[in-house]
Amino acid sequence: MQFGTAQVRKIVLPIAFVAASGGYVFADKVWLTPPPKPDLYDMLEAAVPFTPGPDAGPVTFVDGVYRGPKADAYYGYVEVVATVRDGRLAEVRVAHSPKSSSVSTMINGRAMPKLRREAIAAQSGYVDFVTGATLSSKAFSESLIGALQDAAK
Amino acid sequence: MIRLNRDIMGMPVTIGIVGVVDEQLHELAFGCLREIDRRFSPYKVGSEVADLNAGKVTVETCSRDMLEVLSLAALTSSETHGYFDIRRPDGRIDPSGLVKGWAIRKAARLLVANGATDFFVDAGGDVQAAGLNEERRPWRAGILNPFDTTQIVKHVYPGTHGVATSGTYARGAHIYDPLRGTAVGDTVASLTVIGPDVFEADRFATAAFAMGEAGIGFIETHPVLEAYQIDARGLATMTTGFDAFARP
Repeated sequence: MQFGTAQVRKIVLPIAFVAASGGYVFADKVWLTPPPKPDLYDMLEAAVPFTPGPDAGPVTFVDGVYRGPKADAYYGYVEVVATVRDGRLAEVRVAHSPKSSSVSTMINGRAMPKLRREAIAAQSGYVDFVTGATLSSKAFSESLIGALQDAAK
Repeated sequence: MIRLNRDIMGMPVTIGIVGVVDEQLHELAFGCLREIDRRFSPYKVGSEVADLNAGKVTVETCSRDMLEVLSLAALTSSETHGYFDIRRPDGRIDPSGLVKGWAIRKAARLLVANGATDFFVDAGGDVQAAGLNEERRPWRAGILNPFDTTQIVKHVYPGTHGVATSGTYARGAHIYDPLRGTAVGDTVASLTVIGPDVFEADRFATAAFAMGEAGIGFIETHPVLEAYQIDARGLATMTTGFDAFARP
């Protein structure tokens, strides 16, 4: 499955790179940097009984910045800050997450070895398991709900 | 293969074991993880970590497991130039960043000790595999797209190595902030590390992720670790030995 991909890669990679860069620029101008992760919004929708836009739902929020409670994400805590503007949830920022704790920016300019790069692209085929960054979605929701409870009238 | 899921340590845990007829070994490993959670979560009243922070137990009177974790924490802090520190700003200790990988390794060793040869233990995307899958092929792992977790962007074959990924939400403030002009490529979306076992992979993934874009360079300098780092543009950088794991 992995064999004979060299020629394909030569063609696909530049296209993917241009597509990725283009997508980024577009996203930057319009809204977020980079394109938002869909599962964040799934979590928001699941956590918040709230419809944005002119025909907003029953819950109205008071403008302001609300810090959610610290929610246990097992290997650390999660804390979100919700910003409400014009009665709408305008922004959710992760103020603290487990892996950002106790870290200073100390790294100094050691020469970076020349490492191979590639544009990521979706792969098909069966896998036995997946690896990806995890954060307890429950902790995220708990902190966000706490922040929005403070904002709700 | 029997594959079972449980929610332990606040995350989904999946164990798959080839060649077994019942769930006994799975339950043994799940029990091991639950026990570690009970003892090492700083958020659980009565856990050994909570007691340690409350001064109810000391380094002299704590369990052997706790001593091992504390020693490994000291070692990791030194090996990562201070990027990994279990001491929190309030002076308490929180070893949970280390305990996850340690717990998976312990559960995997328990399975081996009880005769399992072909299995994987996956806790929230950090995985220890052993042997072969049920088709008698090398275990095949997928690295998730940090921007769309319904997609896989890379296949890796960790063999008996451990694989762990750090990322995304730790830099969530950068990724989701529409106002901050973070330079393109300044942000690492995810960092997947393959190491001799899941404990090594996990602790170095955590530490290297905290280093930002320099993290991949740090892993490159480490002889037994390989990594695949995805930045905010969707560009991946890999260590020189990573390709060996991208083939079965």
